[in-house]
Amino acid sequence: MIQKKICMLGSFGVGKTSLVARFVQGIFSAKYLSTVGVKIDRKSVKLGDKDVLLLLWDLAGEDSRSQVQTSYLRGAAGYFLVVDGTWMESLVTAKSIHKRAQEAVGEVPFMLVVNKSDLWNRWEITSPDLEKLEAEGWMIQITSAKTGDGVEKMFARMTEEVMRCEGQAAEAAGEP
Amino acid sequence: MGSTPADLKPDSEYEPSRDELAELRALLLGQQLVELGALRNRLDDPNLRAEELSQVLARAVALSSKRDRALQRSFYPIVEQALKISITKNPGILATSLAPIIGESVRKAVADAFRDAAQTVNIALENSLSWQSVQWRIESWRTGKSFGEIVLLRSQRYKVWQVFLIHRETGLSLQHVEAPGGGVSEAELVSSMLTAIQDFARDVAERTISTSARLKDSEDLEGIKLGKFWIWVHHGPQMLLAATIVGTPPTGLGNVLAKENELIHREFAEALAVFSGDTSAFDAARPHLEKCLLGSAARPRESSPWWIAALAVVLLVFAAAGFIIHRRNNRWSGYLERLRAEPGIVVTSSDRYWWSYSLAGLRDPLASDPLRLAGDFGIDPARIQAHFEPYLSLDERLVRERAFDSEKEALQKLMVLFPVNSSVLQADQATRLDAIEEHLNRLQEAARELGREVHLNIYGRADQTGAETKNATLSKERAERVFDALRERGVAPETLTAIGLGNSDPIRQGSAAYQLEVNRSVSLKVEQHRGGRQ
Repeated sequence: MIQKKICMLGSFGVGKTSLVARFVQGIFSAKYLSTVGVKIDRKSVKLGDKDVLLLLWDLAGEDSRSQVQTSYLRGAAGYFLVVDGTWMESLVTAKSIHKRAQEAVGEVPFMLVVNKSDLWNRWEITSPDLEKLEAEGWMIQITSAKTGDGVEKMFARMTEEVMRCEGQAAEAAGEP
Repeated sequence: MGSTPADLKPDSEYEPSRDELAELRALLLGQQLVELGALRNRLDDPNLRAEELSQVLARAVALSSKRDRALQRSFYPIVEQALKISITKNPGILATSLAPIIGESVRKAVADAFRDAAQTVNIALENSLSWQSVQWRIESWRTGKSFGEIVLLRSQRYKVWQVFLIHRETGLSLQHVEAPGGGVSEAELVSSMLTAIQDFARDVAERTISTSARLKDSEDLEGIKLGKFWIWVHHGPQMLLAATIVGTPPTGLGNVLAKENELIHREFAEALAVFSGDTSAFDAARPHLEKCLLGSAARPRESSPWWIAALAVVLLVFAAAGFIIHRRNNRWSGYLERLRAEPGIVVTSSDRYWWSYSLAGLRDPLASDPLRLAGDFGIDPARIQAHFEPYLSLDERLVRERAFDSEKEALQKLMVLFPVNSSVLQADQATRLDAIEEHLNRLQEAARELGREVHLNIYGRADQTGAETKNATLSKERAERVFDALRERGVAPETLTAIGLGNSDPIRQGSAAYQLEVNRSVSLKVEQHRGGRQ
């Protein structure tokens, strides 16, 4: 069984926990988020003939008073930067988190998840904003935790990317 | 620029001036000559070569080690030699460099050894006296395992339910085992969460503890306790071994976790180096984890069966003592009741001690023996200290008894005297016969009232003078005379027996006249039978 640790990062209230809840059936209560700052769920994803078990570390959201605890990022194979499409500030926060996350785990796959697509008419984040980031090499996925749009896809794409990077790393190291 | 025109071979046919040739050469080869010179210079000059090599050496080594291990193999003896030389020359340098690492390891090893020793002493003390420890010692002797190992395996004070092998960096569960009956199917989540809690605890600690007392890298969350539930964690450099335990785990268990974790690190070093989420390589670690599933039942310490048995014995002893005391009391009070009902006995005081009794009171001489009655109640008469003052009871039966006794006594004192060599009743003896008749009548009446029958033996005697055969006849005749006289007075002859004693049983010994006179007589003896038996 292949296991991968994936982190969910982003501001408070952007819908990280809701996205995970859409995707998994966990055993731990969401209370952990407010107590130790992390809640972990798992979900098995099928990729070709391989089963990959994602361990999703849902980290407590970041605001002006508290920052994401980067020690929870250690050993992550990839991470999601979740933002709220109706709230521009959340994108700014995501960028700063991304910088710190890179410092903590190095160059691992990451994906910008723009949530709340069901409220698209109230979006503050515009297409040019996203196009600019895409041009910089960011993977972007638009989702709605409410309707479930794009949720399965965001995890599938992440799994694929993580496995692809692993393959490249193995090749570089001269592995068969 | 080492080449000059003078170095070139001269032309045989045309010998141009040296200057011309040099000029031509410079025209034709020009720049190349300069470069060729520089190149030769580079190859010849060791300083220059060294400088150039230094610029590419690091890259070359990196490329080579990426390709294969040939370079490492080539370097190995050199490095070894170099180390040897360094140590011979100045051991201080290496010692200073290694001190922080070795010091830490040695301190840890010494501390562990002390803890082990203390644990062994504790185990020995805790288990030195129980029956179970004897069984364990036998098992230890039989299996060749140490006593401590057997205690860890068999102890009923704790049980390890699950063991998790966790990748330290990612928190991923590499392997996990569980004891039959216990179970967490979400081993991956538990492992991750445990790592998160460890990170969380560390974070909190680092924010709490002042900078001067910062946590060391080697200091980690070693356990979580929740009532009787524990999670113990051993931190290896790359993997954690965590155990969930119910009960009171002995510290020796920590050593088992440490030992197994170290073995797993050694065996799976290569798998760890290339680990990227595929846990199948760690399936072979299961036996190590299973060795940590120790303890036999998580049972809170309760009073051992030995104590229950002891308590039962004490209760039984009390019950038996109670029964004995109760029975003794019953016997004693039954005996006292019997005594009080007994005619001619008055109990004025009675006491009961642990091993003896005391009785005091009044007793008619005719009453039954109180100590003999004790036997009827299972009481040993020797244990009774009795003191009875004599008295005369007015109890009806005793009054009759007394009357019977006095009539009997009176009758047996009476005597009928005869003259020398005669068996004829003398007239003066008539009053004696009257008295006999009177007492005999009263005796028989008393006997009837007491339910007895009396029989009168009439003994005739002769004095010691005269022939023995004559005396025998004479004594018999004297007895028969009294027999006849009583029969004539109305006494039933079947209650009388006449016996001649001759002079064989004289009333008085001696040959004085008064002694001989008494022996020429008839005396009486009352035989009594109860209930009409002969």
